[in-house]
Amino acid sequence: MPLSDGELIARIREGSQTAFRELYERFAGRVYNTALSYVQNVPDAEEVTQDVFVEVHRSLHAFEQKSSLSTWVYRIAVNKSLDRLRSKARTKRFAFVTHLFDPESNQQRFDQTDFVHPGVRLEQKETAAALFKAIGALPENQKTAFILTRVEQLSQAETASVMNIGIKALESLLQRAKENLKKKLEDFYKSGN
Amino acid sequence: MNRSNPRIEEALQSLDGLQRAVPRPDLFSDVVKRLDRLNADANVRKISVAAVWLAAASFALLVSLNIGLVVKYKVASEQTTVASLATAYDLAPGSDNYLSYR
Repeated sequence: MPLSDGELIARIREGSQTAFRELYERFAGRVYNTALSYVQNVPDAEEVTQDVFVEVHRSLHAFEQKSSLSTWVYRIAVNKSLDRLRSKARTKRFAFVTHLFDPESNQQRFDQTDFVHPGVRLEQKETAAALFKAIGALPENQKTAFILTRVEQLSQAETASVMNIGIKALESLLQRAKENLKKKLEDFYKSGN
Repeated sequence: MNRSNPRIEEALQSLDGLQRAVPRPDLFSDVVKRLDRLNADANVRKISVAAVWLAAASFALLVSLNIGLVVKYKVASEQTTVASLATAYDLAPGSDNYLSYR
């Protein structure tokens, strides 16, 4: 019989490695996929996943259980993913004063190659790549709303809880996200892709 | 602009049936290694703080001992000077001048 969230938390607080492993097994897939949707490459997604579980382990003693464990873990995953994106954006901005191109390979260092989500059906890989590129260009809140509802398939209630906003605010974000995605995809297809 | 581009709709629907990607099996051991590293760093920091306090306490003790010695030497030195002067001028307790001074 699997442990309840409360029992799991209590055991981890007592120092149980087994319980922490169980928590990891429960949420690793969700955290990894969330991170992958944000950072759009496997090495960064793995780094973010590690960041999340380290944070979970270190902060569990302070978790007051006002929200569900799932909501709390997703919240950390979203924050760590956004932190990673911001860090990369800062590095990219700074790169113009260093070398944008790798001196050995002459390849652009921060080139964002098309991301193909490993879980996309083969016949949809090209269109999904275009969509993920468009998702990557969304403002943070719209990106989060879209990823959690459409990619992670969370309910609107849980997404709103993760984002700490009301349902109406979430619906507004989703509407704007969809409009922006359509505009970006239009531009993408107009440019001959 | 209200045209519905089928390619755009197709792209938006490309997430339907998306399979969840699976992290590599040994990722958990990387999490554990990172936690162990962080705990080790925290212990080193704790030891360093204790070492600093110990060093500071030792230094304070050394300084106060030195001050104590200096003060003691100075007092003893002053007493010796007074005693030497008293002897030189025949003013030491027990001498005739001492008695007459009193």
